[in-house]
Amino acid sequence: MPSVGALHVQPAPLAPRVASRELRPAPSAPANTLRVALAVESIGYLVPRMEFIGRVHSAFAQACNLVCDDELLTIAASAIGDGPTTLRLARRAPTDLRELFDVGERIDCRQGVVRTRRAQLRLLQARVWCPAEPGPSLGRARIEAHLRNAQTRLAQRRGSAPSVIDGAAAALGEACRALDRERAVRHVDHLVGWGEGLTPAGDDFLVGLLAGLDALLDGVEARRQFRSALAAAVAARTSRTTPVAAHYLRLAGARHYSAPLVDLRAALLCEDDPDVVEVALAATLAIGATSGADTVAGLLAGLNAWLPARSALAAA
Amino acid sequence: MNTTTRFKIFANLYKDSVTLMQLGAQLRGRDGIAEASCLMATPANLAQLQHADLSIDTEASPSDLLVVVRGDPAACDEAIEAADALLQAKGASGGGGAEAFSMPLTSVALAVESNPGADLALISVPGDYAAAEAMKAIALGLHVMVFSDNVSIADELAIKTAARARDLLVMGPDCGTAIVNGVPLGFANVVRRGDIGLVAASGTGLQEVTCRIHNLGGGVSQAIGTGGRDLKEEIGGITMLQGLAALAADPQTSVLVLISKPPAPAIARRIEEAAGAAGKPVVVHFLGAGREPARPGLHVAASLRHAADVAVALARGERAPAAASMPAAAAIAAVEQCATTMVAAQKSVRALFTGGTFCYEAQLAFIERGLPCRSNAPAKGALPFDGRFDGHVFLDLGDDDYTRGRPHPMIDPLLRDAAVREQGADAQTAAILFDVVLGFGSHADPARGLAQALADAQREARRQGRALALIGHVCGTDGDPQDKAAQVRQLEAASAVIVGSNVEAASLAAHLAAQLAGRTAAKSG
Repeated sequence: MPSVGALHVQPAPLAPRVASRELRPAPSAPANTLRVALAVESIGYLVPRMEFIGRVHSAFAQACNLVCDDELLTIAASAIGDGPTTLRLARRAPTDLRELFDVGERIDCRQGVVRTRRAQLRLLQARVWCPAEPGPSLGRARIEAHLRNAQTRLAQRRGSAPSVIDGAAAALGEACRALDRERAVRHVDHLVGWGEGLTPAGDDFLVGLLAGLDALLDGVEARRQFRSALAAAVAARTSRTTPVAAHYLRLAGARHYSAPLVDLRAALLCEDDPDVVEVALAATLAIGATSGADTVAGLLAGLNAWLPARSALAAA
Repeated sequence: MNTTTRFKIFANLYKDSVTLMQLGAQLRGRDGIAEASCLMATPANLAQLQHADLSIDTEASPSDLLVVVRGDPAACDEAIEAADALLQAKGASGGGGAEAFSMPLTSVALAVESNPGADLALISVPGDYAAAEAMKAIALGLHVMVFSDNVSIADELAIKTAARARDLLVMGPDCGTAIVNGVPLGFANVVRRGDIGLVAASGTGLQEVTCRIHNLGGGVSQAIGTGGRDLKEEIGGITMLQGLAALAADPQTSVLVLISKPPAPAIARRIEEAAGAAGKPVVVHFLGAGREPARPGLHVAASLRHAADVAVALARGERAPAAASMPAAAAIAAVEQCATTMVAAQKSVRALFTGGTFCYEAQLAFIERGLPCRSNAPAKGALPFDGRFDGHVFLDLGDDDYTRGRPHPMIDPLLRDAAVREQGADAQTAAILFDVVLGFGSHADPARGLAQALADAQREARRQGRALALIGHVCGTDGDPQDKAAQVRQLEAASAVIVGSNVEAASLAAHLAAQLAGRTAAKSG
């Protein structure tokens, strides 16, 4: 999910409280303005391809956020990776997006061509990114070995600085294992919006947790109901976190995740080769200051919560 | 101390997590500041501020950025002012006019933020952390040069696999030399730009070949280092294969050169196959491997010097020259003349190298002539050095054994200078064989101390009634900051015989060793 991948990505507050300089309208482009053509390598499966209107919400060197209706779209440098709402630029696209996009300026997409005052992106030729279907699942012992290794790597990554959310996160994992909705909602209440950073650690953990639980629903009704209740609890609290984190929590509630997280989840559950798991894990851990680590912590908590019971059910 | 809490809300201001955490740390480090926090003003975080004794009364919203500091009132005011200047500056990860308070670039992400055009990261951190930093750089879409050593082979495989999946190149770990688009990285020399592209698993090997190409009038398009383990079975030559493919596709490159110590056989085959399909002439030098061309289009060189000679000839459309390893007649005559005044006990060559590949190549010159030798980094056919200086000994003084806790001898040559004096005083020593490596990263005047040490060694030998042969070569170009000609002059003034390449120096020393061995045999016969 781009929340962990997009170091600089912010969604727009839908109704900014302050008409600050960040959201001042930009003047329209003169008709004869030359635009930089940005090559788009791929677009996420939730990105509208033909028509939309929006505004630039925020611009960073490697990412630019657009607000379109109630959705956030992100134009991102290739390195940030794919995501459901990401327009991923080709590798050699111009470098600093701040030079091309002004906060508040209007964006028009007509017939698959996005235009701003200084940039133009053609979407129709871009590949549409969708998460690949995971392969057949590994045996329980192999998955557990991957999870143990991942837990070790996570601990190494954190070093001597555990996350402030560790206690509440562990307790939420236990509540998931016990399918205890009341306890889970109590912990969600603590976690939403908690922690340093643009996407607070608690939110990153919750996104990872939902991704982990989604992988092990296994058609079990009790789990499906628990997951729905958990997602509803998260959704009800998104106003209590940053706009960017709220956006990705909403996506996670609807089971939409970014490429690094999907790849890591698939590797942990389906990939026999530990090197492949290691690469996926390292790529996710490397995201942001702590976002990647917090997301991995959530994913491992979700998988650990339901993996043993899954095996028991399978045996039965 | 009189303390207060100050805060400032930056409405709808968005900075990435790394910047926020760095800013918080910087504020906490300011004089007079007891506590500081820089975070998004979510209800959960506002509640947590109370626990940190930073509680404030505000109606900030989650889309607001909040900076809170506690401490001396004046210091708090200054800190808030500094934070304001930094956060409001364009590209606020550092620089950007934030003169009052400039944050250092303490991560690859921050560096990319401040310099979005960068596409290569050079990682030089302790080995335990290098793989993680490399992975971050790869995630940011950067090619990587890992200067650090002590990176596990599992980590090397992981970062190279991740990079390859993104069509990025990892040079290293333990990659000391590269020249990318004319920019020298690590230990590298000032060489002319041209149409010869190199990929090498050997740092000083790469320096030797690029320097000779320059000295012959040729030029270098790119020189890519792979790290010494790239051609091992476990890694599979990932970087060399990527580099080869990149140079094969590069219109600025007309001839390719591949250099390595002997690869695993399966890897060698894979590389030769790829080289054969490059569509351009490829010169291959796997030190100590066979010399027969494996397939059409490949030119197998006999030495580092020969690799450069062949590449320059091919780039000029000329026939590849035959291998030559002996120096000019004058150098041979000077050493033979010196040998006539040596006493019977003098029968050993002591080779003291700063460049690992030079040490390896020199051993090969002895092994080819059937001369036994020992080394702390033994080539195939050499014996491991057990600490006793008996017979021909080849030391790679840049090896971990000698660099733990001290700079590499190319940077700080004092260790080698001391070894020269010590070995010069040994009654067995007939010759001291050495290298001097110039270029960026190396000592500013390596010949100065070495010339003094050589002179001291010669003086001590004469005091004992012996003569020493001092044989060396200077790896560098006329463009290097050390002034190659002046370096050579200093060494020659100390009665050293300086030849044009490492293989010539080693062959000359081996020639002397063979002569001395023959003399001993004749006497005992």
